[in-house]
Amino acid sequence: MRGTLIEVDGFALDPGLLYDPDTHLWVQPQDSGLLRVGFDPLGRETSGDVVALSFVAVGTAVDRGASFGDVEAAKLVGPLTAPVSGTVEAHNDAVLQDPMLVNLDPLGAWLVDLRPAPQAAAELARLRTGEGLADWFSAEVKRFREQGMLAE
Amino acid sequence: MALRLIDAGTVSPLRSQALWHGIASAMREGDDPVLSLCRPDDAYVGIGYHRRLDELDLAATRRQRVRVIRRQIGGGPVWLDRDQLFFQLTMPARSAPAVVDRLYAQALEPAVAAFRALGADARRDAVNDVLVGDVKVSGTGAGRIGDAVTVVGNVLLRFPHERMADVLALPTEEMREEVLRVMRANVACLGGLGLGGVTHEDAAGALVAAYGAALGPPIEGALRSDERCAVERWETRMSATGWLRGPDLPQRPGRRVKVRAGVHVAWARSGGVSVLATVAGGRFSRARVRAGDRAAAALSAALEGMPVGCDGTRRLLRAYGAVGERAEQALDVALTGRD
Repeated sequence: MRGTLIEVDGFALDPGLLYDPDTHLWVQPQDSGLLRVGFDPLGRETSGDVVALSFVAVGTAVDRGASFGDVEAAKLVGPLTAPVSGTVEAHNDAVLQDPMLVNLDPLGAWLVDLRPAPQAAAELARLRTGEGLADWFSAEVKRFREQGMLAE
Repeated sequence: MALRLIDAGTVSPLRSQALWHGIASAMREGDDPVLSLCRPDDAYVGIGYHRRLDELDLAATRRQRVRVIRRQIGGGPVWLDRDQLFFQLTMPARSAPAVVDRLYAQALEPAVAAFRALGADARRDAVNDVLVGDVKVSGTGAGRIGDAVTVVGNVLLRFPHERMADVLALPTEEMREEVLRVMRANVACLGGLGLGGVTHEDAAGALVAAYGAALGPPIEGALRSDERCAVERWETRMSATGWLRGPDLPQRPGRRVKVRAGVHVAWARSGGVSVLATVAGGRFSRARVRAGDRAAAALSAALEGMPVGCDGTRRLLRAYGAVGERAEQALDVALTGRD
């Protein structure tokens, strides 16, 4: 369930999500114990428009940093890198059918659900959320702009 | 930083794809960029990673005795053969431009310079098209493989438009004829530009000179042992049925074939009305509405020249009653499909 959004440098963020600084994907613990994963707005923006997605098969275990699928965006294909370790339990069929959903609402258009591996708890603790989230995200926006990855 | 040059010469179709996938897979942060060149010794069809195999008429590929090879980068089906020279620039992802437009600019401007050196007045257009006038003269794409980014392209010395159109799975023969017509008008080879005397060696020389001028004098060499192993692993992977089948992707209604940026042919049907539309520069350059109704012919003519998706076009469609409404629904399907 989505919380109240905050705006940071023109990007909407859900402070209830956990954000991975390395992959710019978000993670949301579910009541079921699964971890839902999606693009954060900066990850989406710097990828360009997503035109196709594919995911590894349900039941596949992935470590943090390993690929759980591929994204084709703005004329470039690249891997989707897991922000936490776990086993893929579900795909979001809606984004597979219509990848444009990711472009329209990256915080709502989740990609996969992972069943967390034992090391996921420590990995989750490294993600950004709560106090300091806005400052971190703002610094990331500044860094991306300085690197020319975002329009001024 | 030095530019490594690997000229693999004439290789099998499988090696012509596995070569650069392997170079990319073996690349590590801090490695020098690699310009690789090769040409296949036989014709084949390449298909992008996120494309369903049923975009191809596999019976036609068997009839033409060409195999199909899936690549790790995107884009639609392409015809590849020995009358082309493939070039690839592979660099560590961390040292490659992060913005796609800049990546293509860095990787393709030397190719544009090479085309010019060969006598074709080329320019880069719409991020990653290489055009002479308004016709495309090189197929390009890019992908991240492992810790590397690769931008690929080809120099078409000659190009068999008919064979390319033949291997596409298309809903009607009328669409095939239209795709062929539009492809002939928008995709040209050097031979078609009056540069039929250009050889593979000429093209390779021009590319090496242009990339050398942009990225530093190339140092020619062979694959490292780890690169050779990675290339062989990719050959095995690309030969597997599961790889060829590709990722599980949904089937989409309608059919759309991109010929170059901003130019595509689309077809869809809704409630007994079918529309075949050719779009160029955001306008219908040709439309064929089929409905067993005289209004359909008039609507076809009226659509030509109209902008796609604007209110005026929607009003025009609705002025044709039920046929227009169905045609509008079909166009919505056809024009939102994948290229």
